[in-house]
Amino acid sequence: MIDPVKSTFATFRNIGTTITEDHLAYLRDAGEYRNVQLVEQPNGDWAHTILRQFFFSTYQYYLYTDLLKSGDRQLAAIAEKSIKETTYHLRWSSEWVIRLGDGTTESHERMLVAISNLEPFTPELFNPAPFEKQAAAAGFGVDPAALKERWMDKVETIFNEATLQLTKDNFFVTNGKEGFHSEHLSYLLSEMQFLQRTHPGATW
Amino acid sequence: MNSATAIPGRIYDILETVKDPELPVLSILDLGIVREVHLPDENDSRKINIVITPTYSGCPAMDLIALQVRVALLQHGFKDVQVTTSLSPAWTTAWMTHNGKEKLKAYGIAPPNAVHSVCSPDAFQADEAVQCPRCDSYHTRLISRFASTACKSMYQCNDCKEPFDYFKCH
Repeated sequence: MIDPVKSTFATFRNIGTTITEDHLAYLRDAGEYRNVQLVEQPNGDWAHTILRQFFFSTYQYYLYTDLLKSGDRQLAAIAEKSIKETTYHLRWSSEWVIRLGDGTTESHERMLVAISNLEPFTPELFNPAPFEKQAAAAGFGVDPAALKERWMDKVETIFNEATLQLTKDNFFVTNGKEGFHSEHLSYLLSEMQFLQRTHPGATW
Repeated sequence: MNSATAIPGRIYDILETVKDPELPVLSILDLGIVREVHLPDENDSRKINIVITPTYSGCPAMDLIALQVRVALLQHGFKDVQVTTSLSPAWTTAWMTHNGKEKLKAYGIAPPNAVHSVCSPDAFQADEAVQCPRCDSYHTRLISRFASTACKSMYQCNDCKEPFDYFKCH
């Protein structure tokens, strides 16, 4: 069996030489993707879509804040660039969570459904995968466990304003970061990768 | 730093011809994305290195801009053209020139405000007043935080009723 830590690092070491952006986006199968399962959950009711955005933007905001101190200059520069956009996403999605949670009975009910659907995917954000631990130990990555408290504080602050609460139970284990994904990722990839898979190397 | 000041006139004129493909009224100098120009070899003035900074991450215009910079310089006699991308310091709308902002406004897009009053994640801050590019009224309202591209939001003027894009501060 392929060692997931080694294969992930090997992939990233070779970016720009044998591995290009197109390889990463178009030529990896679902099992090679390392994203958390939260982000592959499909769009749906607006409450659901915006809550997914809010959970993830909050995580990204603190992730990039810490990555600014990365020992890898390129990664720190990417964080510096990304945090400006993430700040905007966080503000935008926070406002929607408050608007819907503290809105009408109907919008509040829909937010409750969204929370029960999506909250179970959030612990994965903070469970470090082996490659994340190794990257943190090597001085260029961030141990996501260190983000959890700030994430919780921010979510609870916004939820308070939105008259909502995290349920903090009913969690199940998701490990997208180790290549185990929900069926949704395959549907996303089959649409996104269709052209490259059908006409490999096509240019126009 | 305002990039335009440090660039030799001849090169400035060439770079001024390279436009943002999404906003064809703006040159890359108006946008402030040209950060450095180096002539690395005193004995060979045909060698040139240009450093550019992307406006938004993943902006599809960046590859095309880099290509256009290269083509423009090659067409004007440069032989060894290096275009590199620098992410840090990150691009900010403060680097957009006064001239660029005027051109944006004339094109019907409200230019970014000089003061970045809302670049923090806190919800429901007081919104900055955005001036209508058509009638100059500040009596405008936000319709959507994302508009025709990720770098703009959608506003409407309460006075002349014109809906318009605002190039948001960044």
